[in-house]
Amino acid sequence: MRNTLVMSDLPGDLLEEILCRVPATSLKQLRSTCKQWNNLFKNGRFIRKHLDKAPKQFLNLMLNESRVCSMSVSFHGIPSVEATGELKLIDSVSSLEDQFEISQVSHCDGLLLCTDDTRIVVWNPCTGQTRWIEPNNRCYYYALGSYQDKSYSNSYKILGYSGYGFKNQELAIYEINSHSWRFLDVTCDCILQRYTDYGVSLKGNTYWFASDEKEKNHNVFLVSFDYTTERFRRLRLPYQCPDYKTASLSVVREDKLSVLLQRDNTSRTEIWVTSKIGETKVVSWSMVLAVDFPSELFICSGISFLVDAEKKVVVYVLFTII
Amino acid sequence: MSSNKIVLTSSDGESFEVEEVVARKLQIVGHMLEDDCVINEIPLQNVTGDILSMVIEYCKTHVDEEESEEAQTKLKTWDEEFMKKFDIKTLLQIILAANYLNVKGLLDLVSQTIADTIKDYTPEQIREVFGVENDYTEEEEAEVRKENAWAFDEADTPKP
Repeated sequence: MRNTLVMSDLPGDLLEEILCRVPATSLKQLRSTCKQWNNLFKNGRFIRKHLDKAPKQFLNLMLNESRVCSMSVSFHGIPSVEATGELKLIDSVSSLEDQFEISQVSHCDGLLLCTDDTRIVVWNPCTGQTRWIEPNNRCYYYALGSYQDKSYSNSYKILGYSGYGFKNQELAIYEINSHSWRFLDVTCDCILQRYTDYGVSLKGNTYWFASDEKEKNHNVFLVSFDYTTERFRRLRLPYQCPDYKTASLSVVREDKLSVLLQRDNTSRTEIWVTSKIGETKVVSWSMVLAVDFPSELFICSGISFLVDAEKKVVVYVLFTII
Repeated sequence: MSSNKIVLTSSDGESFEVEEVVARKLQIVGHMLEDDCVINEIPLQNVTGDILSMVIEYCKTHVDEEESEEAQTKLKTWDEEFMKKFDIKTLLQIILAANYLNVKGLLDLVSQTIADTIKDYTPEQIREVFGVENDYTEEEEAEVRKENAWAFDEADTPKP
């Protein structure tokens, strides 16, 4: 039996069979093996195969002083959330290789959409690939979403919008494959509410809190933008209620939505999770947690939270005011 | 089930007598048997005896794959233990054999095991194991390494 095996012995399809099972966070390191591997990791067929076969990983990331950091959560003693490692995003126009100062970050399928006031970047933190995009001069906020293109492969669009509290949103779409902005001739027919800074993207839609002046009770609901049809739809919250002291939105394991709600005049805060999005026509809500906060503890608006139903863990970041 | 015996012969002349149901797990053998059912000795050119014996061990264990959860868990544990016996070079020999002999389950198992093993390797270790030549210039390699990704991967990479 020979002791050494050379690359030419291992047929390309076998090599792919192995590499498509390497976890995404290790791919970046393997890119510098040789050019062939680096090219393979950029190949669309390989990417689809990797999505199918590689073990699923969940990354907890947070924005810390304009940098994206991986986040570690500890339950020993006083539970704590700590920024552990920093992910370096080098500014494309900086000759000194400075890092990009991120002011907003949102995510979709493991891709990060980062913006400052002058540029947008779609960033795959596992492979290190970036796409720098000029912002649209009529939009201030951006969301990233996936859709199936004509050949049924997954692609991405960026939705630009004016922001929160506007009756008339300017909406524009940037298709990653087309390299250009176009304005959208639809209206969301409601007002986005700024309980959270960004919309949350899941399975080809982005979700926001919203309300509608034309409705009698001005109840808050969720509105979603579908990146395939480019239309808005409404989704009821567990309560019909015109205002919340705190409201926040999150994604659970890439298949469910979750909301954190605290109604006015109550210390009770609840977390609700939807049924799996996309599996049934009607989305149903179930409550996973209810807590009474002492009155001296306020949850600031714009809080972030994470729910892991399998591990029965809820993490949220809040500020205390005594 | 048929208890018909088949003799499999490796490239270095080692012979293994196995039951037909086990031999059929090797799809290459399955196809030969369909083409001509009277064969009872099959030469396998591209696999040596030591590797073939491991493939046969896998096929014997997986010969009747039961649906029950308990049986599945037991098999999974067996698979894990079985894979622990081999170093990366042997795993690469097995994957070649599994591919040639067309044993789907083993191919998946070995692919995942190799992927799990190499995920923490440095590019240097990878090149050595796979016999891959580094075709980057020094500048190009530095460029790829510093591109926008895990900034902590160098400091934090667990050493295998």
